[in-house]
Amino acid sequence: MKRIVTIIAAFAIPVVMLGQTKKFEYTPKVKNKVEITNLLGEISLQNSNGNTIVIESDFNLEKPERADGLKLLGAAEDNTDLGANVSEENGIVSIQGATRQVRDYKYKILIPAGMAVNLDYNSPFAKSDISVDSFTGSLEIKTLNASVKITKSSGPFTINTISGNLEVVFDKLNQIEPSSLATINGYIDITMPGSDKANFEINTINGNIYNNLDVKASAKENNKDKDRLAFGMDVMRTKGANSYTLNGGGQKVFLKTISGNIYLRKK
Amino acid sequence: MKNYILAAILMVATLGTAFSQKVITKKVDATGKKMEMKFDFADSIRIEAWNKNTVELEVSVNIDNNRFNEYYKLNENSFSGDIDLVEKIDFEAIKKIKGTGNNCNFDKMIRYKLKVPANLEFSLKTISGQVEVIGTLGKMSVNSISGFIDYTIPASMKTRINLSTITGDVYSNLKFDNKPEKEAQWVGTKRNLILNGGTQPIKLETISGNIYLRKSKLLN
Repeated sequence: MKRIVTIIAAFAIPVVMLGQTKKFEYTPKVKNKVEITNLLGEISLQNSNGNTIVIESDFNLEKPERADGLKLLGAAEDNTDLGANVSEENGIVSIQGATRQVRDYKYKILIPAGMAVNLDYNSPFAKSDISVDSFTGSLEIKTLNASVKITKSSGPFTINTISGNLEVVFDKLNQIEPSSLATINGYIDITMPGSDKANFEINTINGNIYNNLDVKASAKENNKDKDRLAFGMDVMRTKGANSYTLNGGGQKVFLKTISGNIYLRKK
Repeated sequence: MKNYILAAILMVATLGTAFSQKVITKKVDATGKKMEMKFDFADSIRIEAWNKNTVELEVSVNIDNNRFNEYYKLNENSFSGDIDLVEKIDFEAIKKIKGTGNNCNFDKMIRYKLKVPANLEFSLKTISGQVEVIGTLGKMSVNSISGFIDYTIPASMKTRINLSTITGDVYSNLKFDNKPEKEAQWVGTKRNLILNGGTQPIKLETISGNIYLRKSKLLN
């Protein structure tokens, strides 16, 4: 029996050690905006409980013996011990990847509710995807190849990607500011409670649009640029943006792809 | 019995002298001179500053278990008035004896130890050498392909360090005047670091080695 316990312990302890995460906390002087740049590891965003920004990471740099007592020279000073630099200026908290090794690690960033986040992931060296969970506040994300997955959030979102897919599950749509999701090669998949009110502006060139949300084409918009020759006729299809309403219309949601499909799901 | 043991000891001793590592020492006056070094196949190069006006050099050579030590040469050219040291190993001759064709894969261990005047201006080129420079204050240029460069810098030195590495990393415990960079460098590192607002140019280049910049513990 004892032997079994030792064997289990021998296997379990290294696993626990490997999964060790370190924490860094920062209380912003002004609760306004967070800018995340050059942090090209695996990022997940969430709201924190209090007024502090918390960064959790498994960052663990393997240094050669010769570098004992020396620090890796990066673009900025690593003042978090997590390979990142945190600074605050003019009411904007900046979280910056300090070294290129950040690409190999995971970062979980907890942001106080109500702070806006601008995440710049627009780099060919970005290694992973982005996930956002239970986040309230304005969120702006820019990526090149990375996909963005958002759950249990309300926006407003401004998300731009070139080849990434966008998956957004709204718990309810923010009615104060519009949201915009845009991708060139990826798909857009949004899920929304059927009772939400929204105005969709949907635009795709090579993609198809599927929906089981009860959206209706907004006739008003379509009749706007009818010319003299179309007098007395119904609009069948108009160029450019196509507008649809959900439950009589609400805040605007812009969905734009070039080659990807768009999926509108009911929650 | 005793005789046998004695004979055995003698034999081992003679073998030892026949195949022992080659050590070359040199002393050169460096007053008003620059130094240029090309130690391509070095394993380690250690350059230390001292307060004399001479360069003192010690090379220990071991090529293929000391069998081919005689094919190592350290050429000194001084026609320019400066000190010019070039390592030469006659690989063709060794290959002929070993009959290995184009394969010149054999063990070697070549170590350089130099003591130089603190203000000496010098340049060093190596392929495989791991370079350690301690406390020099002069203009310097070090270029290595696969070895690291470790520079111990006098804390008060006013210098501009131009460094680059492709796949290596840079480690340091010095406080440079530079402001944080806006863009991170994702491939390789190329930096122009300024220490104490200074201008003495230092150039450190390596392809796959790390670069270490450390504060000297000595006061000067």
